[in-house]
Amino acid sequence: MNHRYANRYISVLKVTVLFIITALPYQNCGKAMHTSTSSNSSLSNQTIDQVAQGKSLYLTNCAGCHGPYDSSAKLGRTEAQINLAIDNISQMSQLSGLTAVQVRNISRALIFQANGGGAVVNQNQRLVFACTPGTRSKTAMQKLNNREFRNSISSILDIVNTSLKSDTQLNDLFSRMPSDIVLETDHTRKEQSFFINQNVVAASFDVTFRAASLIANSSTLSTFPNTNGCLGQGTITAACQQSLVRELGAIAFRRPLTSTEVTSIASRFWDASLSKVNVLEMTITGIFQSPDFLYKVYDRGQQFPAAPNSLQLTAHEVAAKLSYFLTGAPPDSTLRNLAASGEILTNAILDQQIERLLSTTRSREVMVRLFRESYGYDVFGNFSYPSFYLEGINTNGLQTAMIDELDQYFQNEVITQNSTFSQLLTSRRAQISNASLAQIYGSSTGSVQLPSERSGFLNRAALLTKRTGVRASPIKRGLVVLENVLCSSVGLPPPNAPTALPDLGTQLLSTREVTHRVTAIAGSACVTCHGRINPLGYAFESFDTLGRLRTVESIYDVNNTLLGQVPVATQAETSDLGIQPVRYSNSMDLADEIGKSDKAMLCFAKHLKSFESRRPADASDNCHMNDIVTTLHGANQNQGSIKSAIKNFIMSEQFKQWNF
Amino acid sequence: MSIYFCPKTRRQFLVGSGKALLTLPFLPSLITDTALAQQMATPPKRSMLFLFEHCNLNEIWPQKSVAISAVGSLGIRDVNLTSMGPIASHSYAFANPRYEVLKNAGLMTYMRGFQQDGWNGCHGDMYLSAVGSSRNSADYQRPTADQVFENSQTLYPTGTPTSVRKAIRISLGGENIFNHKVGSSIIRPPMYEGSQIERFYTDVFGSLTGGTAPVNDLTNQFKSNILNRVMGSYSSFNGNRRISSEDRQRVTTHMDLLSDLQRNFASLSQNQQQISCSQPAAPGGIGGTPTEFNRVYLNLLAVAFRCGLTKFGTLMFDSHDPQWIPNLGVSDFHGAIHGGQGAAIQLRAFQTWYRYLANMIADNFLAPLDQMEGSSGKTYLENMITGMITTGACHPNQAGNDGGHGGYDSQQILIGNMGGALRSGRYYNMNVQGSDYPYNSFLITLFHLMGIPPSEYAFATPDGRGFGLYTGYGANHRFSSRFYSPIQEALT
Repeated sequence: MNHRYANRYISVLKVTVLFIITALPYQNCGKAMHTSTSSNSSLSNQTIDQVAQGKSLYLTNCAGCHGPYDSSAKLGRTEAQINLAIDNISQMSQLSGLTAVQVRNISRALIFQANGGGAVVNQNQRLVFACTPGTRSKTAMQKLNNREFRNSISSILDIVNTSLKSDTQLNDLFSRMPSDIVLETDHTRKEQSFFINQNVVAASFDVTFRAASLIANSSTLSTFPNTNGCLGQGTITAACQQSLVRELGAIAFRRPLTSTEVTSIASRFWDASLSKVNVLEMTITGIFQSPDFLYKVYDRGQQFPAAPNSLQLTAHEVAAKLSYFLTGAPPDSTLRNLAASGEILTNAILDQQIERLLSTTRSREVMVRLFRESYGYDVFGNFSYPSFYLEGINTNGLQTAMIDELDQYFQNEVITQNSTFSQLLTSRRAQISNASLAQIYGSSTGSVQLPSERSGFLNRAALLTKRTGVRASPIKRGLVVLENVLCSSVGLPPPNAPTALPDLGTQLLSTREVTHRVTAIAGSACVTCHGRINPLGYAFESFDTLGRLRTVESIYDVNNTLLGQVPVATQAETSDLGIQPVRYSNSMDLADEIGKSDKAMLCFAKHLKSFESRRPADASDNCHMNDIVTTLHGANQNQGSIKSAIKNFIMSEQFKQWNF
Repeated sequence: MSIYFCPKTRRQFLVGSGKALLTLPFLPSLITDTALAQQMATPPKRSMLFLFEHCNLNEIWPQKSVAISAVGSLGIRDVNLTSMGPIASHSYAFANPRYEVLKNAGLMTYMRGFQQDGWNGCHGDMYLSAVGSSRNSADYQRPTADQVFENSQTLYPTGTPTSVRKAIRISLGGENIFNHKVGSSIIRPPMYEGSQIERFYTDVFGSLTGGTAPVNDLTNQFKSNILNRVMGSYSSFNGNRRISSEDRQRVTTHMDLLSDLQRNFASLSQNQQQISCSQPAAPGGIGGTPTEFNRVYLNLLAVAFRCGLTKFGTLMFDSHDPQWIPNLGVSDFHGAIHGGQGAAIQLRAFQTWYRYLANMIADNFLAPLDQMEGSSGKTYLENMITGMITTGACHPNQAGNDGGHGGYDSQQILIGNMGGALRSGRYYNMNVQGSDYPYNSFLITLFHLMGIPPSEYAFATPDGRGFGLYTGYGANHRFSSRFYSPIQEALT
């Protein structure tokens, strides 16, 4: 396992530890976007000049203390933060002679670099990724995740007999496979496509051996396509085994096998001394355990001229990649036929097939995975509240109901409603099947329109309920927006950071006020990061810790004795939605702004690309991600839909490449 | 959750596998009866020679030119096999992944460029007597290799239990192959043919105490067998596909995890079968099909070696009518490999035949011996020599030639190194400036590795010199001083 994957798991541990504490001040606010330096050819001249001037000023005035520009400890600093520091930190008082424009440009340069230098302003004055044409991102060979593995095995069993996949023992073995959905980074749980250990290998083998045994003993084996019924005979000949390898292998490997491959595989698993059933079990298990089955590898195409490590996907590979991406399953017979004829390579047919696949049940499961992994709404901490606080709400199954609600929300908005990114942030449609959740929302169960104070996915319970107890956490809520919705990382808090808000005795202070006093006092070490986190969380102060609407916040002491109530304040300002600061009055306002935010769209593009490639997107993906971003931008003030963005992402040339 | 991969070398894997691996179909239960081999502090010398007659198409082996490093002063050259890539990529016969493992562990040795044409005879001449009643030449009255092994006092000192078979001879390709001529008489030593496996079983294992009830569930063993083959898929994949170096490493990791799993299954199988040297289950009821008795013979031979019931065995495969082997594509194998149906069919039949048998050896003989032997720190395989040898040949050993039974440019495969005595892990080109090395010397090298002193084989022969026949070489030949010596370049 290389370090990249190992580090991913180290970060899982870190995040796990982090999750159980309430982080206050943060250190080393990291880069806001993952992209690294790339061409800024589409940057507007004006912005280029401003950033260049800011960089020059930084090097002259700031680098001595804060390090080189590229890796400055102060990346992402706003104009206000810099002015604050100049006014309050004695060592910086010498910079008081800088003009407001100069400070603003320094800030621009720091924010630009905090974005990895990857986000630039295009000719339409919209933020896009800096794309260097011809850049090719390496395509990692993904192992089938559990979902894909199960679908792949089931698809093959169905060819023999649709009842085989219901086998009790087989399903028991599937259920015993180690979960491959793990807490990864930034409060998200992700399916793993590179994870492997002894338990995974053993469980995978057990499943495939059982599946092979089911096929080998099936009474309908004689009907296996293109084997002339030879598998129904009492004994098996080498020729018959070869025909099985050719036919089963083509489905399992998602492409036709060469005659050499057929011969090689058949002879590898042929043993004339074995019974027919044993020969079949050995052969089929062997195919199921082959890297060509367990890994998604697309290296059969032609080399690009002058790019020896880049290959054009074949028709079968396009079909397989498309199918796994949109359905988590191997190509069905329609796709296989279109691959065999080569028609899948034509844009019209590909477009048609994307549309078809997006209407399948399996594609809805994929949408769930995409949005859970993007926005982390399935990650909860403790879910425990005093009974007086619950006011009759039954929390049994409530977490699951909250997650289900957002699952269905994303499925409905993206696939059924063909929503834009903005609509994803503002729609009030909901499907509520849990009475307690309906109670929280103040609505009925069923397909409903939520109250006007609650729209878009950010205002749903699964994302608001980030903390146990009676006091909501603007920090946790703000972090979700900053890290998951805007892809801005603020790093980890320092080791000595307090893990809880202080006991304030009987003072009647709102959570917002306490949070501000502890973490965002001007000149403190904490304000650097909390100055960005907290304002995003404050917008949601109109919801209590269970996600219920409120206009006042009830304040309790440590014994949960009610001290009184204070009005909630939700207005705030952030500089993290774009180059210019944005003011908002409440979470609806904020969601509306995020729905129009280029940075949020860039972030979604990163999520989508990462979901497809199963690795963090980087600068080499910028051009491909721009296919998503520009679709989301749309034209004439009308955004393109999420579904269109997914479609254009698939139809791009980059999707059809294998770079190794 | 374990996510870190601790890479294992092939060597580690081999040893690891050896600790647990057992593939002994039909030998499920054994009761305790301490083996002769296990009583000894130093593992005994042992040798098993499989004879592949009667052709030697060199297309299936690497060309001699790959050996570029001079070894010794005579002109012999060698090359480290591990530098030549996956074994299956250059040796068609070795598709079974065990050979790749053995190669990487330095336990495979190729010796190419021997000549035994001086006998001008038939199958296995020089190595075996192979005489028919019509062969009265004095040449055929000389001792043969199997006799040297069998009669060695060093190998079998006085007092050796009578239960120990001094030479196990199995012929699956002709009943006369082991005949010896003494004077005008033809002596037929104890040997076994395909249909005589039950007699073989009684003779070799009759001294052992009966075993417990057979274990019927061979599932773990079967799974181990499958995984053994699956690893071949991964080797092939990693060697041929256009993937990044990171992905290649991940495939290697996957393969190592598979090998661990295989070891687990083998271990379970081993525990299930309570391995010890007791009488294996009788092979009764296996039927007379060649696939079955070939396999069971190999299984039983492995047990015989493990249990110290012999130190020398030889088995000749069927090269006349092995049409039971899948995909031979010919109805007359013998005629085909003599080129009677054209070069393409000749080559395909030969390589299919050889590979099938090599695969069977790997799964049924090498696998159960690929286990640690007592406290020696080495596997049974390392402590012995297993030869896949050939003498008769198509001359000049290329498809398209009939060649009769001339023995030029033959290639011998050795597995193991007799506890380190053989300089193994290499491909040797024994041809020096156009002259093939005397095949006799190869056999003498085997004697030497077995610890047999010259006094036990360099006895007077009809030509008054010593073991072997060198009529193809003149007195001033470049090898004349080596006729009766082991090949020092191949020894440590």
